[in-house]
Amino acid sequence: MSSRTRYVLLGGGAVLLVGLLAGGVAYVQGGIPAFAVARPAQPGLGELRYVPAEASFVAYASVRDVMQSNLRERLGVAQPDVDRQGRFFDETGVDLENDIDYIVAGFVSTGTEPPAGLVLLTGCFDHSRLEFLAREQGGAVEEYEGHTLVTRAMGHDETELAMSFVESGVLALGSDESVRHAIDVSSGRAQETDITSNDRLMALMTHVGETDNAWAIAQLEGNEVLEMLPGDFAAQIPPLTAIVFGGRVTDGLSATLTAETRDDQSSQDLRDVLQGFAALARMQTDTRPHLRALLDSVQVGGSERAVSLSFDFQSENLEGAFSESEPEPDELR
Amino acid sequence: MALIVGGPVVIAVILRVIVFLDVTRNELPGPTLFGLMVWVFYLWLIVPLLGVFYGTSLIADEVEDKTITYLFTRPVSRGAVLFGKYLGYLICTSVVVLPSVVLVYFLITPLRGGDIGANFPALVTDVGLLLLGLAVYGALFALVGAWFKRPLLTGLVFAFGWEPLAVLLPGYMKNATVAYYLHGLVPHTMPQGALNAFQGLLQTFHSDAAVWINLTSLVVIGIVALGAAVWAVEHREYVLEQ
Repeated sequence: MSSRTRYVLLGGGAVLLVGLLAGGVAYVQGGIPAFAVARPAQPGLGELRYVPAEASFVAYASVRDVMQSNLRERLGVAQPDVDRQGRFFDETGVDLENDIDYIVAGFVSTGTEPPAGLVLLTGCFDHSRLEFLAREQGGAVEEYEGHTLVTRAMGHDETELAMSFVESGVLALGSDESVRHAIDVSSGRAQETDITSNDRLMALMTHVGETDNAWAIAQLEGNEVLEMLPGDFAAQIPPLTAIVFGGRVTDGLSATLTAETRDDQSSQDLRDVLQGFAALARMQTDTRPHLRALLDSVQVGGSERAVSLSFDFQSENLEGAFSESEPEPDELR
Repeated sequence: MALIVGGPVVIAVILRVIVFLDVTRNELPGPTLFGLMVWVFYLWLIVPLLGVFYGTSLIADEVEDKTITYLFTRPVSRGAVLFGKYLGYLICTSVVVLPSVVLVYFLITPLRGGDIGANFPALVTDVGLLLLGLAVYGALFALVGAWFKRPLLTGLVFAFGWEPLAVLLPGYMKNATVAYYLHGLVPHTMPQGALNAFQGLLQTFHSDAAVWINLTSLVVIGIVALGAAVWAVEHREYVLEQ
């Protein structure tokens, strides 16, 4: 055997052995160091530390992914209301379409009624411009725990809105109490820990797919979220304890909605109702093949106390369904 | 051989760069891409090609170079000579092909959220599958090399003519191929909606038989082919062209 052949054999064997060992270690330990992984840590999870543990609703949406998605381009949907976007930009200096990478939102209990909302925008912002705009429009600027806190009234009902950059590239928006609360939590001053210590909600996160670019988790049992619903609607809702939504907008729209009920019977009843609605809807789509294709992708499932509703809408079917739902010219006369 | 086994690695690097630069709208996850590459590049092309070229040359090259006399005059049975050369072929091709697969795995699997650890069993299965493919194709083409006058041509016709055709024909013709059983052991499944036409084509080559049937068939083919090659070498008279 020549030396070259020997080196090739030894080198190949070494690569094979090291590769299999590394893969084996990754398999056993359930992961591999970040340098070998092309996917960064799931976005949005870092900002959860600003959401206090008692929050009952947390949501995340990758604005960048949605705006750049093929679906949006093909359907022309999710086009922002230009007037509203323009007003928001004029009032806050934030361009919803270009400045924001993703949004994390949460409903926070501050001891006052109704529950306060907190929205965290992550992206590229012009700090000085935002502060200048706030001052120009009569906002109050103060320093709070090393952060600049801007408070001003917005909208026709003069709702008070506070905003502060809790860190570079992360803008917190919400009521004055909730933004101050977020700053307190992030600096460790508040007694409450952040929502990552809420085992119940973090357990619900397991229903969210790693590739989802939008998700929402709501804990419904014994909290103020149901009180936000109008009239007797809350009383009509089946006995749900939690809802998890995870979706992905790319070439199409795929999502899974998972609801937890109080008992197995409620879960079975809810599954039966959903399957009945799906079947009824399919019966109405004989002359609408694209809409039929959309409904065929709807799956109802789950087990024990969990009910899941999933769908996978391809963009061509969505396009077709929209065109099928448009009235014929004859119908307009 | 370097070009053949290095090609998929280069393609994997290019894919990695393309995804990194975000210039494609293709959303196929890494594990699916890896399965596709193993299926297309390794199972369909590289393994049969190496089997044809190196399996047929075990005896045919010795005859052509007129060096077979030196091997057969050794105090070693002819069958042992063939078996030893076959083992050398198997080790050399494995040590070149399998590291290439491992490199492609680490380059491709993490794309679009793939997990290296979670998909490791698929890699181990693929490595075993490719090793088995090299062994079976090597044994089969060693028989071709020991038996036929134009072994390379015969091998190419079989690997790239007969096998693709036989699996497309209805009935039991596909059972007379190695590819049918080998592809039936592939662990990867194509995602719904991805590359529909290509998926349909690949699915036609997929065996519906149970795993143990495919595995047993491959082992039997390998053993029978190698045994027949040994028998042919032991009993055939190789006339060296003057």
